[in-house]
Amino acid sequence: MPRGPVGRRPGSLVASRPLPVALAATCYATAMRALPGRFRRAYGREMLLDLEDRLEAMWMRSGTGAVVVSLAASLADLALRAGRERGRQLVHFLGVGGGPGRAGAARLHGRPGGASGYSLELGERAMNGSRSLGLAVRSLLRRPGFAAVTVLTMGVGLGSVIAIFTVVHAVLIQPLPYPDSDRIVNLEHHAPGIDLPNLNNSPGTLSMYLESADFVSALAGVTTVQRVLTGLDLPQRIDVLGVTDQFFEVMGTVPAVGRPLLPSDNVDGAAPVIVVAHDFWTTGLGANPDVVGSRLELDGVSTEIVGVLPEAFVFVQPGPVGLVPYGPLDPQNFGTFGTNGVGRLAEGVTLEQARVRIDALQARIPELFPDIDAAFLESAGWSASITPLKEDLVDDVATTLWLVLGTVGFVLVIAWANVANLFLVRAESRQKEIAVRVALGAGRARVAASFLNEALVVGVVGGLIGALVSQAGVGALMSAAADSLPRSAEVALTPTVLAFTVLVSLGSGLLLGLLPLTRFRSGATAGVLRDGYRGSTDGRGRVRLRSVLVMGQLAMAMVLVVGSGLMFRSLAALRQVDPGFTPDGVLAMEVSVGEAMSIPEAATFYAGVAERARAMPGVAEAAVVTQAPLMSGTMNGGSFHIRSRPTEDDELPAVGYYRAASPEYFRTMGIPLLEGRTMTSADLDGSTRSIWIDRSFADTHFPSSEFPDGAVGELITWDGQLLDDEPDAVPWVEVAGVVGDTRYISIQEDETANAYFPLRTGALGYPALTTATVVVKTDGPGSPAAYADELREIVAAANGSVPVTRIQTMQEAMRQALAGDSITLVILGIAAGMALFLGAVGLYGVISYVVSQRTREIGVRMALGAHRDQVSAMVLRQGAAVAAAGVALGLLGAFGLTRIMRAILYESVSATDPVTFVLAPMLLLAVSALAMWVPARRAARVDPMRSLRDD
Amino acid sequence: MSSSHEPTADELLPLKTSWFHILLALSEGALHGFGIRESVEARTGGKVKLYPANLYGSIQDLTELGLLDALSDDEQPDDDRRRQYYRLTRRGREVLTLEADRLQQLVDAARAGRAPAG
Repeated sequence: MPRGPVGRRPGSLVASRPLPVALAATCYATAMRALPGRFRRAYGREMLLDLEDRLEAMWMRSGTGAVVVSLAASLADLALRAGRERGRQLVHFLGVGGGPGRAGAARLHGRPGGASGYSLELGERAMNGSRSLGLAVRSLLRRPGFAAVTVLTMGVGLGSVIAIFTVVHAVLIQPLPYPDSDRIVNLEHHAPGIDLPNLNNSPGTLSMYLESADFVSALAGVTTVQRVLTGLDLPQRIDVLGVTDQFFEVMGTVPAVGRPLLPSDNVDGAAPVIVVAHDFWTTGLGANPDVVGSRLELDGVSTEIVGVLPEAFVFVQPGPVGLVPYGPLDPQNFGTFGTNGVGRLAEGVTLEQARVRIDALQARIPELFPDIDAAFLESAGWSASITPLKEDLVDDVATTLWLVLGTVGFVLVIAWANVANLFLVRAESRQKEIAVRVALGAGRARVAASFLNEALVVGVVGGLIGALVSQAGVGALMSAAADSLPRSAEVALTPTVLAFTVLVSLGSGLLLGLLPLTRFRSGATAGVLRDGYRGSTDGRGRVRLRSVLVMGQLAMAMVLVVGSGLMFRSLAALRQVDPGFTPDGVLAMEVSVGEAMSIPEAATFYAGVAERARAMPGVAEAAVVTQAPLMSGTMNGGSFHIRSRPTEDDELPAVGYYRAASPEYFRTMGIPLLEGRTMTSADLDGSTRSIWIDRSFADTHFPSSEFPDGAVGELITWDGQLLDDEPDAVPWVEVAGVVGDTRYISIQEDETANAYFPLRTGALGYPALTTATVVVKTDGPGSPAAYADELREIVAAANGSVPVTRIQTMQEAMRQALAGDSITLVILGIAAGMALFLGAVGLYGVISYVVSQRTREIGVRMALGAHRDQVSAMVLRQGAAVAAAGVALGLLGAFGLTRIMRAILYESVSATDPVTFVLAPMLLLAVSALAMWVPARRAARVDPMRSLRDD
Repeated sequence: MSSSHEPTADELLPLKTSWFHILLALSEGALHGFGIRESVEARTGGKVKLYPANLYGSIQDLTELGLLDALSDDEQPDDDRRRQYYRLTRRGREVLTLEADRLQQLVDAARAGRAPAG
């Protein structure tokens, strides 16, 4: 046959079509089975031909992505039409069953526009049917196995969706719990040119906006402050928010008791005051009604409680127990960033207008702050941004949460498909019973209602089980992820969640009940009685519908397997990352002396604790550091200067971070010394003025091209302000050694430039020592956690009013650093496992059914000399087509979804990771083969004599 | 009751958007499904999309209502024998005209309402 349009056979895989188009057409062709046979015979061929032409044009114009999108739209369109056509069949069935003389079918075909009449009739029938709800329960209970499997499958599917929806609703959908919360915005700055892509605010920027910003009606600086609270039971560290005057106006709240913080509280020398949170008032202060006017001891300072926040006031990040004055804002301090800026948009100002106006204000920075010139701002890539507060809070987790919701949505659909398959089987097994009932005069409507009622009962009971499952699930999720999830305090069972639960449960039940009904045709029941069910053409229709269901299940399982495979690869890559220290056997104890001690006093105190810890049996080494890796703590830093290489005017200063450590720190953590000398106790009195830097610091700021002798011996300082005015007074420190890189912020972070001061260099005014971590390396067997109690006793014995704020092994810190990813992987993994299992069960069910239907045919074939292997192969071929179509559709879907995954994968893993995309289809096909193997073997074992005799 | 079998042309109004566009496309002569789609998408600048199931579903509905019929094999043009051609029936043309009149009245009303203000 000559090549060309006439020679092409529509409806088959044509070699001349590009592969994505051919794959998509196969999927569409399979999905077309959802349409009634009559419709397909009339239009199917041309529909497919049109689709192929359309997709091919798309592919040539815009590539595979457009094909996937267009296929999805076409499938949605197909689903709508299939639903309508099947609905017509159903109405037809019910209409004829309503009684003799009713020309329901004729009317239906005559008036597609007049649907309202039918829904009314349906409604009437449903009313009648509802009386037999009790019957449905009894009927289900007669087959407890069927009832249990369907109800539990629906329960698990619904439960996981409800659980994740509860979290998504609370975190992403619900507005923040403040009046007109969509008007509350977060102000940020960006300086990508000096490696500071995200900066919040400094006293200078806040003063500037308070002075000149007309786009906000109120503006406040907010910063989290740690205080040590004494005078109640045990000393404890608490978080409070330091806020400027207008905080209450921004958030739209006033204290329930007492007064808010006033401008007079925010001046130098004002008496210390606090407004406490409602929670803290009830749990910490015994809900004392006369609390206003009483006093708390914070960092040793007597502080007056002037108010209590209302019960409904929720902190966006859980933790703080009260509000304290921020203190006066220094309008000339441009450089000390670290304060969040929140504002309330002024009346009538849109977000876009506010963005334009804040941009315009940035141009005034050089005139307001003489130290900052326009050239510096330009080279830093300086800009300001305004984001709705909610967006700013939940942005990090939004992708993960939507992904997880999509995942469990898939599981629900797969679970639903499995239950639907079970219902189809059950409908078949009841064929004869139904035919007899109809023949005896039972209305078809009543028969249909009995199906619908059973399905609704399964949906409702499944929904109840789902609600219980979801409560357990939300509890488990919150205990595992509450710390890493913003707004976790707001996660609760709300009316919206309840409505969602009811809707999804009833919807699932309704869909379940309608599905088997579409398989009935008006003439079919008579045929059942006449022929017996076996061999009638209806069987093929059912297999087709069930094959489509199974194909969809396998496709979704494929997407989930790819998703969890990618997540697994990402986590595996993260576990391979060398954190730069040896966590084994190391216990870290965070201790806070607060502001009560001077820096030398604090240094002596911490060193004393470490010394006593070192004397404990089983402890090899102990040290002090102001920030331990992967734990919270104080990290200081910013731009610094190198003496031998002054910064040019148009050049950006170098940026590095520092912390303080005792000499034993590097040994305790297993951080190697690469160059120079090691830190000794001689460095502690400040006389040597030395500093140690890590490999990244050295490579970034002392490249061998400019520093052929390396970094050791170079002088640096973070006190840049003195350089111009009093060059002699600059406290230079000398680089004494270079040590290995350590990941402090997260496992994922790129190497940042880190430096270490000796602990007791307090004279230089560098790292604050309000909080420090004592790290202990044990050499005994067993977990280092066993030493925790003894360490606490050492601190308590040294000073009874100093709290131990955290004790954790470094192994735990490593685990927690990967906890978010681990939870995502576990959820995706469970979902993929369930999807795979349910898909395999579905495939097994369909193939078993086909074998049971074709037993006689197989018997004939074998009697005529067909070999067992040929029979097995015949059965496997049928299943393989379904599995292959499912895998192909799933692969297309997975490719489409990888864009979402990219945001949460570790950088070394590609979203189209070839290993995952090769192994996942293989796994799916292997599981499918396993599911088909059992029924195929059964087919091969058919005894021709018996199968022919039995029928 | 024959009226319930055969709704009058008037009872079919207003027409669904996709139906109106299909009838409009066929008013210029017989077309196959693919041709109808191209004509509609060209006329509406791609705003009205006719995906296959909706397109052929609508063709089925319109045929059952007696607004279209399929060309017999002898009448089919030679250029593409794989595809079934359709044309408007007399009733189809009548419904299309009535719908166009109805839309015209709406347009007139809208213009008249706007005129004093503008």
